[in-house]
Amino acid sequence: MKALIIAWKDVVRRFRDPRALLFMLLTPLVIAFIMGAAFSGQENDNSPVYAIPLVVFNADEGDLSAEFLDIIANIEVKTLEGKQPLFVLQSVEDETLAREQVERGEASAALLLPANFSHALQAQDAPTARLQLLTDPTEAVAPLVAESVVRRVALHFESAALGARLVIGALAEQESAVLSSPTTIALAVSEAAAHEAGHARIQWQEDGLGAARELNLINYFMPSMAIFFLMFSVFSATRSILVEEKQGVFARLLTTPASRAEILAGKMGGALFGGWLQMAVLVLASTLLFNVCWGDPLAVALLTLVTVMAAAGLGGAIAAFARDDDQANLAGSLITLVFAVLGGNFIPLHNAPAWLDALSRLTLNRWALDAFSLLSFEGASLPDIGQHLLVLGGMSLAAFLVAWWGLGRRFAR
Amino acid sequence: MLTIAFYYLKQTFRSRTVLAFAIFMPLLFTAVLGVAMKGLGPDEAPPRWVLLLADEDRSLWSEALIAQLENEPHLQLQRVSADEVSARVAAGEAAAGLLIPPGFSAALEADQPASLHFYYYIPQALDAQVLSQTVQTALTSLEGALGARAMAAQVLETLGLPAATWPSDQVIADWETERRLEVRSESLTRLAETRIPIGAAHASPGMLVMFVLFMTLGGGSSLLQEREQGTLRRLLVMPLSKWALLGGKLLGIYCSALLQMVIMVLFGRYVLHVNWGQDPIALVLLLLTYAFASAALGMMLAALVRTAAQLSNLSTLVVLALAALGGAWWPIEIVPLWMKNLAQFLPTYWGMQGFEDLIVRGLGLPQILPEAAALMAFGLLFLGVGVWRFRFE
Repeated sequence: MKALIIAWKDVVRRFRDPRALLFMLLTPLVIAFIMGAAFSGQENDNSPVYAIPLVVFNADEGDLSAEFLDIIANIEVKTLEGKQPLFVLQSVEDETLAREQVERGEASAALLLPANFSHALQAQDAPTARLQLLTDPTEAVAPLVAESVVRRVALHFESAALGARLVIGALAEQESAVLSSPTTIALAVSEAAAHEAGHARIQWQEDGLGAARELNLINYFMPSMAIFFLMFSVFSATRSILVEEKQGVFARLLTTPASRAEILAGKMGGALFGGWLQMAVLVLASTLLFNVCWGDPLAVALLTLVTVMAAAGLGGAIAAFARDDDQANLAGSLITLVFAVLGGNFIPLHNAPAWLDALSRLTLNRWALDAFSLLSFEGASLPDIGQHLLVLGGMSLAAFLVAWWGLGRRFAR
Repeated sequence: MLTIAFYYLKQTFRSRTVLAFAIFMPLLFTAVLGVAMKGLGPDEAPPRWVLLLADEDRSLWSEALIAQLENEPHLQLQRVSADEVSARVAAGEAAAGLLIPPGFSAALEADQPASLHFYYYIPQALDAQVLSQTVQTALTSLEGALGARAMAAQVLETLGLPAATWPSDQVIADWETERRLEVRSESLTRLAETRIPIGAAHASPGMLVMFVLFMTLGGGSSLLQEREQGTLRRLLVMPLSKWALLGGKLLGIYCSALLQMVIMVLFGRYVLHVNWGQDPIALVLLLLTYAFASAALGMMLAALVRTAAQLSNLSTLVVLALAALGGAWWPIEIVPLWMKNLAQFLPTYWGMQGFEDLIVRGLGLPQILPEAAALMAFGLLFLGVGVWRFRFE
């Protein structure tokens, strides 16, 4: 009972402090929102890039290059802001100007159409026309999209050109009189090319796998930031044992009817209750504010329980062996940051090499984040995260035993 | 002023806490994020995306499609069975997989729609989009050959002439040999080596931009601590104006930021093999102006809050938000338009743009002057507000 009173007093004090609330609640919500918003363009069927600035230098004076650019300018993609043009074209009169714009980062790419563009497609034995796409090296996605689109539109034009050549070959074989009427052939080719342009021969079926629900990356970053800031606040709570030791509060508490074990249990309990409350508020607030899907409520509750226990146990162990509260602060902050970067709190470690992946699994952050992701993205239930709960439970038990033994020794003196 | 700045520096870099958070931690973050985002080291091959492929048709047209895909420099094909494609993609073992079902070729020859199944791993949607675009480009090529044949047949029909036959292998051969347009793509950089900034080349400047802010906001917090402990008041009894005192402190914060940046640049250059550009003067100018903007921001925040504890709690939010919004954590090109527009009002954005100009574009002093000017302007604005609002007591 006395332990509960001490724990409750610590929780109330922490949650009455506006600065602590800023750090425990507002900061993770704001940062998770920014992270989720940054990647929101990639969710569902949305194109992550659009309105790509494309500067064009057209040295060709034929009709086909104008038609080519017209097609590119009219491509639209689905985005968060509705249908948007994929490219924003800007014509320049000089190749150097086009280069300079890309170099300065004012355009993602420059498309240079050669003077023989139309001739290469129309004449029987014309040399190949070389289209150049100059891309901004600081961008990863837009240049690839631009290259892919330019290639595909070029292929459509080449297809029409080959079709025309096949026709002329057939007419020559048949020694047809139509050969003497190029206008008639051109009209027929143009009509057939227009028909072909809208004719898709291959049905492209895309299936997203690996997530049962819609991909909303805030569902990853919200648990991620919640765990990160949970560790800071829980470590701060366990460090308060050392602050009270330094200020003599602990010694004064020992003069009350409360035993040393009850006081320590109360302080550790305060860290636990505070952590659970913090996580509960973050889960509720993010659900209401950002529509974050945390998944099966029972599984989320249990996972939160063991995650906070593991963090509090670790905080207790740090407090048990630190020389003073300053050293505990330093060690706690270092462990929080190292665990966060190794555990995937800042960047998902899907592409990490095996050694980093293995190192990552030594952190409570990784196990908790993996389990939260399973619940959120895969719609997993309690049995699916059994292994994660066991590992986190094991970490909690080990950390609490070490903390209890260490704190007991420390305050026995 | 110089003496105050020197003592600030000495005191700061003597502290184990500062060494841990301002030196060790940024280096660790840079290294881990660089590895996690790939691209660490100069000898690594350019990124290739693995595409699982199951060909259940084994026909002329499926082989033609595979031949197209094999010519794609970005792709690495891995042949698997039909069952494995979706299973391995669902398990996250590859970003995407392609299944060519039986009857693909027969449908194409009969001018009927032929199906292709593309599976992608949702958590790696960005990689999958690149793969999808690449496969669809190869498909467009296949459709180009088929379309040419169909178009020719239609023209003959329109002209009322007898139909001709063009065997598929002949059409594929004609398509491959008689190309009329060639698209060449070139990444425009003045550096000898082109690297998309997705690994250490992004993490190195990104973490520099972020951790310098922690350093300078920590400096602002130390000013407030001195005010709370009465040290500032005691220092004012010296034959020194209060503005000279503040200037000395600011100079110390500025120099500590510069020192931290130099260590991070050297770590990036010699440990992570990041090419920090070919114009050292431009790099120095950017470091000087970014440190100035950061130190002034620390001063301004110190002037706007009441206590060191307040600033300490606020600084985590401010630094993380500025770093994320300014493009220090991810390439700014992937964020929505409203975030790109917002970023232009932040010093972190201009810092990142300047560093990318040097590291990736290989530009020099004349080209980074706009970024340096923007950082100077931010610095002057922050400093003006800071000096105006700072209270010594």
